[in-house]
Amino acid sequence: MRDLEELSSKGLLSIERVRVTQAKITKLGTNYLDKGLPEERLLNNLLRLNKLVDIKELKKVVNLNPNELSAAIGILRRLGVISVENGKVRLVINKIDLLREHSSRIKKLMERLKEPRIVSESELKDLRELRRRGLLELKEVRYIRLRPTQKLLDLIRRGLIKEAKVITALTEEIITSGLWRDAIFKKFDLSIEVPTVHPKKKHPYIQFLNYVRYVISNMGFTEFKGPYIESELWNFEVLFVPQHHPSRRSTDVYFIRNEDLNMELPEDIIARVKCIHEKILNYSWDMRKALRPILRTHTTPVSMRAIHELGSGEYRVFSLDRVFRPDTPDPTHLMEFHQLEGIIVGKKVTFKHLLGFFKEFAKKLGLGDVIFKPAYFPFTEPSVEGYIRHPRLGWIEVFPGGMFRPEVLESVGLKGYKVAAWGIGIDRIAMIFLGIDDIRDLYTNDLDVIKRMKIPSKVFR
Amino acid sequence: MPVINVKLWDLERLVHENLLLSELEELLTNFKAEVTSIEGDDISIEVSHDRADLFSAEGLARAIRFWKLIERPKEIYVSIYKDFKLDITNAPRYRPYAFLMVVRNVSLDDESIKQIFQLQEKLHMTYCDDRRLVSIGLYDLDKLKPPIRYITVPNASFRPLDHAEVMKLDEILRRVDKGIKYGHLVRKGEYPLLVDSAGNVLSFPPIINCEDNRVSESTRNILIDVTGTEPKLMAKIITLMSFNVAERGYGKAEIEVILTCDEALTKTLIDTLKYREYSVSINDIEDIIGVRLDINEVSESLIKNGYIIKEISNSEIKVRVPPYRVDVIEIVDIIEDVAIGYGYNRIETCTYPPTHYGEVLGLERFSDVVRELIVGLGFDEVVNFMLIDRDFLAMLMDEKFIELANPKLKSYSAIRNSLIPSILLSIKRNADRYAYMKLFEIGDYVKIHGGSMKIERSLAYGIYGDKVTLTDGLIIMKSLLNTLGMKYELRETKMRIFIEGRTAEVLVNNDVVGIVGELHPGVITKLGLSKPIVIGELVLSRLYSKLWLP
Repeated sequence: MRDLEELSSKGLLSIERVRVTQAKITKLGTNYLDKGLPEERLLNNLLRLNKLVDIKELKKVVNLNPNELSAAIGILRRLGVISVENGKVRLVINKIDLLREHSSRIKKLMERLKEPRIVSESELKDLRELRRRGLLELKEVRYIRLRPTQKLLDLIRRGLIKEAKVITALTEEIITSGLWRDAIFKKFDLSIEVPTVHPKKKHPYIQFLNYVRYVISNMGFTEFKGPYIESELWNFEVLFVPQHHPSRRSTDVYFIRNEDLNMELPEDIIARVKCIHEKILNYSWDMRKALRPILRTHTTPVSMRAIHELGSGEYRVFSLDRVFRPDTPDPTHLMEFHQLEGIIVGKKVTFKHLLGFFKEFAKKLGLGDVIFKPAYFPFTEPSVEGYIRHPRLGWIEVFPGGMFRPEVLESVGLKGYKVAAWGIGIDRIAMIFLGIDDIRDLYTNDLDVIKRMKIPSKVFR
Repeated sequence: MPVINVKLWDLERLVHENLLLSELEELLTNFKAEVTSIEGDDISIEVSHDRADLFSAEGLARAIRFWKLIERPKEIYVSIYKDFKLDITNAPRYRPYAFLMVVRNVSLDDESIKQIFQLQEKLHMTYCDDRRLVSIGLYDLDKLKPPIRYITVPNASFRPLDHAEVMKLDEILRRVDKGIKYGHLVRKGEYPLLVDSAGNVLSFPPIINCEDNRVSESTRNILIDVTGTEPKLMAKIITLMSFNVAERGYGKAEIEVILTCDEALTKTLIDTLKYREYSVSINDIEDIIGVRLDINEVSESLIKNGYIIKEISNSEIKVRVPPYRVDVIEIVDIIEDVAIGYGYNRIETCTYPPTHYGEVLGLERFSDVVRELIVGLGFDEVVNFMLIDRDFLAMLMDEKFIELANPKLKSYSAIRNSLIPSILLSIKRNADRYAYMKLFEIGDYVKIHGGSMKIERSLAYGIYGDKVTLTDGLIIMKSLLNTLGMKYELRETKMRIFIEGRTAEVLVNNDVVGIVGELHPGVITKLGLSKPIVIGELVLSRLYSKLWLP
C-alpha cells in the first residue's frame, strides 16, 4: 500500500477505493439445485398420487420439512397450480407449465451463482426472492481500483519507465542469495504518515513523582514514611494546633468510623503535649480527643515521627506521599493528593537556609525564580510562602514552610537543634510539568487520558 | 482563614490618610493578609488566623498606621474601674468565669458598629470555638445601673436582641434562632445571666443579649463582657475586643478594667492586659534568620510592627509587646516580625550543606523495578485513589476496611484494603472503548488485622478480553517472580470474587504473597461488564521482606 501511495503522490497512478456486493448461493441453495426445489418436489408427488389429497396425508408422503412444505404449498397456490378446499389439495393440470417456468427461472439464477460473483444493484432486485428464501448470501467487498495516469502513459511512451529489480523489504533469501547486488533499494518517501502505535508505559504522574524523588534525594534527603491513619495527637497536637482550632473541624478533617482501632500511646509525647497546650495555649487538654484516629491531613506528622525517632543530630529527611482533606473533586481540588514534605535538622540551620532550599529546588526542577511572602502556620515561626511564575497564571503559591516552633520541637523532645520544614503541594508542580489544567487527570485510570499525556521533557533536562 | 469585610473610606478614616488599592494590597502582605475581592468601596480581606487583632478595620488601620510610620507605637494605659467588683460567686458551675471591661469616649456610626460586631463574630467563630469556650457581649454602659453580677437562674425574662416582645429563657431557647443554635451550651434550669443592680438583664450568655441596652450610634461608653470556661483565653479575647473598640475613640478613648471578686482570676486578666517585655539580641535574630542585622534596622522593623522600644544598645533591644498581639508567645514570634520588617526577599539566602547522602526508600526502588518489568510485559499503568466507595469495596472484599465517618461523596467513603478493586474500577472505566486491556497499578492499601492497621505496598494487574483464562494471569506472575529470582509455589484457594477451581495463592517461603484468579461471571455482570477478566495481586511489601532470605 505504501508503494501505491507513493506512486499516487508522484501522480503516476490514480487510486480509487470501491465497494461492491458479492453474491453466492447458500448450502441450502446447492441442495435445492441437486434435489429440486421444494415446490417441484411437491408437484411431482401430487402428479404421482393424481387425486384429491388431504394436507395431513401429504405431510406423511412428501419428504419435506414443515416449513418447506408450507412454503411450497404457498407458491403452488399463488401460481394457481393447486387449489385448497376443506384441507384437501386439488391439482389444476392446465396450469402446471407455470410452475415449470417458475422453477427453471429460479434454478437458472442459482446456477449462475454457484461460484461467488459480483452483482450489480439491478441484479440484486431479481435476487430478492432467493435472499428471502435464504438461498443467497451477500458479502460486501472492498477493493482498490488502480489506473495509470496520463502522465504515466506518456512516460512509458517516451521510454522513460524502465524495469529494474527494486527491493522494498529485504528478506533472508535476498540477502543470502546475493540478489541484492543487482537490485536498487526503493527510496522511502518520508512525507507519508506511518501508523500510530502507543507504547505501554509507566503512568506519567508516577514518572514525575519518581523524578521528584530523584531530585530531592540528590539534594541529600533520606526518604521516610508514616501511617495514612494518624491520631490527632501526631497530626495536630505535637504541631501546636489547639484542640478547638478551626482546621480540626469535620469540614476539614476526615474522621473514621472504626472506633475499635488500636492507636499507639507515645507516653513521653503525651505528657509534654499536655503541658505545652495547657500552659501556653491555655485550655483544658482532652487526651481522648488526642487519640482519635483520622486520615492525616498533611505529611508533617511524618517529619515529627522522624525527629522523634532520629533525635538530635545533623540530618535531612523527606516524605512524598498521600494526604486527605474533605473536598469535592473539581479541576483544582481533590480529597486525596500528594505532599512533598521535608526537614533539615541542624545546630546552625536558619530561615535563610530554608529560603535557599526553595530556590535551589526550584532551580533543579526548572521552575525559575522564587519570591517570598510572610505566611502563617501554627507550627512554624518564621513562616513563609514561596511563589513561582506559572506560564499562564502568573505568580502561584507552591512552597509553604518555616522554622519549627520551639514548642513543636519540645513536644517531640528535640533540644539544642533547629529545624527548617516545608510541605509542598507537589501536584500543582506536576500539573505544570505534565501540561494539564485538571488535577483529576493526575490520578487517572482512563487509558485515553494516559495515552494523551506526554512524558515531561523537563525530566531529562 | 477568616475573611473580613471593610470599607475603604472607613479604613482611611482610621488610618488618617488616603490609601491606594495597590498600596493596600502590598501593605497587607506584611500582615499575612490578602485582598480577596473589591467592589466599589467594599473590600474583602482574608486575614491570618494568628493575627486576631486584624479581624476588623480598627486593628488593620492601627497596623497600617504603624507600618507607614504615621504614628509611633506607644503604650495605652488601662485604668481600674473603681465603683464595683464583678461578683461571680453565683455563676453556673459549668460556665463559671466572667470578665468585664469598659471603653469610654467612643463615637460610633453604622459602619463602626458593623466592624465591632464583625470582630466579635470572627472571634466567636475561631478562638472561642463557636461560643463553646468563650462568648462575648457588648452593651451601652449608660443604660445600665452597676454593679453588674454574673449569676445562675432557673428562669428569667427579657427582650432578646432584635425582638419586640419579652420572652422567658426557656422560650428564647425554643423560639429565637440563636437560642436554637446555642441552646446545647446551657443546662436547663441553671441558666447563666448577667444582670445589673436594678435587675435589668444584660444578656443570657452565651445565647443572646438584651435589646434594651444594645450598642447604638448614640452610645458613648461601651461595656464588654466575656463569659466561659477558659480564663486565660477569655482574658485574651476581652483584651482584643477592648483595644480594638478603643480605636473608635480616634485618640480620645479610655480603657477600664472591672475587677472580679476572685483574685486569681483578676490577676489572669491584669497580666494579659500588660505590655510584656522581651529582650531581642542581634545574635538571637541571626540564630533564627541567618542574617546579621544592624541594630537600627531591627529597631525600625520592630517599630513598623507596633512594638514599643524601651532600651536600645549595640547588640540588644528591649521591646514591649502590646497586649492585643496575642500571637506573640515566644521570642521567635518577635523575630519573625523583624524578618518581615526587614523584607523576606532582601534576605541573602544560601543552602545548608548536607552531612549525609540522600536515599530513596528501598521499597520505592523495588516498586519501580517491578513497575518496569510489568510494563515490559505489555501492561499500562493506571493510578487510582486510595479512597473508594465503601459499598463497592464490600461487594468485592470480605476483609474489614477503614470507613470514613464524614465522607463528602460516597464514591470516596472508605480506604481500600486491596488493589484488586482499583483494577476493576479501571477496567470498568475503559471497557466502553477497549475490547482488550492489560492494566496494572502499584500503590498502598490499609488492612485491619486484630484491631491494628497495616499498610501494604501492592501490585495488582488485570487482563480483560475474550477467552482470557487463569493461565494468562499465571504467566505474568511466573515471569515477574522468575525475573526477580524468587522461587514460588502455587496452591489452590478460594476467594468470593473468583471462580472456584480457578484461583491460586502464590507462596514464597511458605508465606502467601499474592493471588491470581479468574473473575466470577456473576461479579463480571455485577460490574456491568461482559468479557472475562483475570486478576493478579502481589503484595510487594511482603515480597520485599523476603528478598534477602536464602
